[in-house]
Amino acid sequence: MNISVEKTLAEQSILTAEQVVAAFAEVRAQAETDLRGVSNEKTV
Amino acid sequence: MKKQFEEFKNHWLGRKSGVVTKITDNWLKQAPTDLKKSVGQEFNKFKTALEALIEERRVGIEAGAEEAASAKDRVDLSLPGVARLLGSRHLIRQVFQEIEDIFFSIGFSVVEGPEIETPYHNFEALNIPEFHPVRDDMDTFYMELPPSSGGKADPGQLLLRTHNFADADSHDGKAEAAGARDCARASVSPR
Repeated sequence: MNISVEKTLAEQSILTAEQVVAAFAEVRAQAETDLRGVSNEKTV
Repeated sequence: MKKQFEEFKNHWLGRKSGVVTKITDNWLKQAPTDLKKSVGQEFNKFKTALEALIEERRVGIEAGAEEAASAKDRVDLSLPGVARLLGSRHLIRQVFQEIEDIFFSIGFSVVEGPEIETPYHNFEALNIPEFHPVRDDMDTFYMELPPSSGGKADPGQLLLRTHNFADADSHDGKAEAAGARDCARASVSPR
């Protein structure tokens, strides 16, 4: 994840609405990737 | 899997240091006034989507766990049954084999030989002299050769083996195949 939730948007030079949308999309994609890792484990 | 799922859930939705909390603190609350609206909208969308994803996965995990549990309890009727042997060895035979095993463990072997034996193998080779009373026809069954063998009747040519050590002599103490253990005529002899 290039974007960091530890820093503010301004610190990451996210200044427009489009950039905000892209930032949230990136965070969501990361969540989906993480969750896929959980689902790929074998059910015991 | 459940543990991993809980870790994932805490990482993203944890109240103290979850990603959603950090986004709220660092992005939403710190957003410039002109971006506050769009950040708020995107944040709500993101949070709703994340909760939906997590709920979907939770349902999947529970269903998978139930399925796994039911599969574990399921009886597969197509599997072959447990083969049960018919009968068992007689107690005397079991004791016999235990005794044999004891002798095996100290270096003896089991040999098998004929029940009809020659006088040489039955007596001379075992240092039983010719005048020994056991060789009388009162104690030893001597046999005549059958006519089909072509030999003349000669009492004393063959006899019914009187003791098992005749086998050990006639086999020079060599071990027989394991199958010989089951033979009633088998005897234990030193190797």
